[in-house]
Amino acid sequence: MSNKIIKVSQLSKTYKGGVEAVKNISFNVKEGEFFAFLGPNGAGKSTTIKMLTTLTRPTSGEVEIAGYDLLRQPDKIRLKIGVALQNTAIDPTLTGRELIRLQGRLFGFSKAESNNRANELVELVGLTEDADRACGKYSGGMQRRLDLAITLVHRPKVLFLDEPTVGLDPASRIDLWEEIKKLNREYGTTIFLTTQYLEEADQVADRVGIIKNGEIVALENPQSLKNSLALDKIQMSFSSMEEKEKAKLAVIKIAPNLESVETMIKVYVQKSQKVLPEIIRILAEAYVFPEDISISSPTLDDVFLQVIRNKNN
Amino acid sequence: MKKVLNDTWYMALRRIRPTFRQPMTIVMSMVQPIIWLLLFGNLFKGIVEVPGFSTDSYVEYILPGMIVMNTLFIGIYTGMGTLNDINSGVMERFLIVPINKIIIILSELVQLIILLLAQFIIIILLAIIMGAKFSLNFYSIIIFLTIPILLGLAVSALSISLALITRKHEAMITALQFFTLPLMFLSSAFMPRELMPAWIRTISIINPIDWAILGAREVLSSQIYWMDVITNGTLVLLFGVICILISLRSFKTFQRSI
Repeated sequence: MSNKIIKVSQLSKTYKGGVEAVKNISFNVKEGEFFAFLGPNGAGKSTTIKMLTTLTRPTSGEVEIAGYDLLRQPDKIRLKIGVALQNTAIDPTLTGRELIRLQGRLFGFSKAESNNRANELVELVGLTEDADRACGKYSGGMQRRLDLAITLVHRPKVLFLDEPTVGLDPASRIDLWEEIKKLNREYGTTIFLTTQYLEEADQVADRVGIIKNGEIVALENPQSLKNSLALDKIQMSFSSMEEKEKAKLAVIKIAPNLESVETMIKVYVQKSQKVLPEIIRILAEAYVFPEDISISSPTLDDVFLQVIRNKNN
Repeated sequence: MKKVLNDTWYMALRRIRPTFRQPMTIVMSMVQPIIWLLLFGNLFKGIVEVPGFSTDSYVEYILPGMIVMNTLFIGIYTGMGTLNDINSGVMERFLIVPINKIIIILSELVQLIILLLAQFIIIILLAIIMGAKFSLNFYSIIIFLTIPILLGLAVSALSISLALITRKHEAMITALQFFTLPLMFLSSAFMPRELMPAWIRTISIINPIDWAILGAREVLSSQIYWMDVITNGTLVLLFGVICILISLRSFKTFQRSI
């Protein structure tokens, strides 16, 4: 028994007119995993999600979700997945409750089951009070939460979320993340999510994939991605420009990846704990003493920028 | 099969509920056919004097045409709902739900049928008030209503199709309006085929609108030639099936492009 719930092999999508949105990507997602898919705008994130969720057909490649083949058994897959796309899918003329009930009926729930599920879900996403208002009048955050609720009606094993927190105010964003984390931790729902808020992915994702120009350029857990790709930053400040210049001449011999701003020097190194003593020694030899030294580890943002920029060819 | 019908009904309720929350739109849509019948019925009243005209009541003559015209005018706007669904993102959700695509099309037609039936009753009653006389029994009235409705389904399916392909209100409505009114005049709605110029008569023979009008009108006549009803009815039905197939095909085109 393999516990890979999403298997993607050599998946490609070329739109009419020759735009290659996704080029030969391959990856797997394990059952229960929280997988974050990152990439700049137009990198192919949404196209990938649309293919994996049976919405649009791949040009080539193979995909298996929950043991079913994407092209041959799309309806089986649809029963197992929940999908919230970038634009909320909400019929503004209906009430929140009506929309959840409709989704339940379409998934084959009885009238009573659909009603119960609607009650549970409006409660879960905190919309109980507004459930019987036309959802066209909901705020952006409420619409997102309703969208998530509709997506959860049939208790999907895999949840696909395309930029779920985009356009939300900070408070709603945190609420929604809590909701998603809970689904992953408590119900074991596999999460496949795209986002541009990297610090959020950094905190919760088990694994991160970075896509650029339709190709996957990085695929690892956030920590090892940061270890292998991004550099630590050592920042030193000096009392005067002369001091800084002296320090710069000394440090550049052992750490050439250096940047100086006013009376500050920023040094980028692979392993700060090894390089820092050397820097201090060489500064002491040159008789310059920094006023302040700080070390910072990379954030996922740094990794992201580095991956995206480095491979710009 | 049962699931298809059930799902169609749930999806149709999505349209019907909000419509009935706004009774004004229903009232407005009932007024329009009344105006058409009054206008055309009075404007061309003199035509019955032309030799070769088989009835003395023009209202009686144009009733089927008015019913069909009304069907067209309402049917071409079905795609508006589809466009709203595309724009609000709801369409994408329905394409990921485990239901057959045909349900999305059929559900749009349910509300159309309800609306049309209500309008037909008003038009027929008004025609009777205006002096039309016809002998209808239960079966003939069912057939009389079914044939225009089949044409309405066909036009609606085409409208949905255009919505999926063009994804623009203007493009869709312009394309459909371009055809509806001219095709009305290229049919026997206002003038029997025998009195038409030859070229119009030729076009009317391949005009699905005219099949529906002729089929419906035949049911109203005092001596029904059932062969005519069956032939025209079948042609309209076939046209409807083809339009629904085209519409299904358009979903594929739409899905390939998103």
